[in-house]
Amino acid sequence: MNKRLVKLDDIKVINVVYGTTFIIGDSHRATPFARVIAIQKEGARFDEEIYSYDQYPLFTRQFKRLPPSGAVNDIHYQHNPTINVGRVRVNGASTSSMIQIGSLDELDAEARVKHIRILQDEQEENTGID
Amino acid sequence: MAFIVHNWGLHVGNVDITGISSSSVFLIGDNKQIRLNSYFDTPPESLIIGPFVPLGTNSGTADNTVETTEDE
Repeated sequence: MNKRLVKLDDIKVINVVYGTTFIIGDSHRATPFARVIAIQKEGARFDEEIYSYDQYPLFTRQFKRLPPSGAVNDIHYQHNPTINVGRVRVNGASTSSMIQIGSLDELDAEARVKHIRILQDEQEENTGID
Repeated sequence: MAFIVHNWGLHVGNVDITGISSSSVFLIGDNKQIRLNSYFDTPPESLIIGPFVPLGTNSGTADNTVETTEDE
């Protein structure tokens, strides 16, 4: 497939965080991935070293795989050699995502996010700390 | 099967995006293949209930486990 040129007048991106890439130009393959344990804990104390990915099956379970590419014979006729875009504004991109101005052959992104909440009331009820 | 695409002119004015989140893509250009996989777990069962909670530095004993329910 003949790749088109991108003509972009103006772009502004505020935040690019957590395994995210912002690329201007062409690239062949990108495989971003992110593993996140997001803990919301009520109270003043927080110990970060006691949480590990092994504790949660979410971080090891397999994703469904797509059949290999090339299963469909496709022909693309590019009648106009450029893609024209005026202005782009992006507030934020996060957690294994991607912003690209230009062509990309393959993208294989992966994100695993585990949310946990630790509430003080729940703890006290069950331990009799009151 | 023959899959034929005619790309005529493509002109876009302004794009305004608030957020591109977990395993997402914003691409201006041509591409072959995109695979976006994401697991996101925040069920009510994720609330940790019970005494087996890793609080404080004295919680490193073998009896302490984090109680969560995973949907399999």
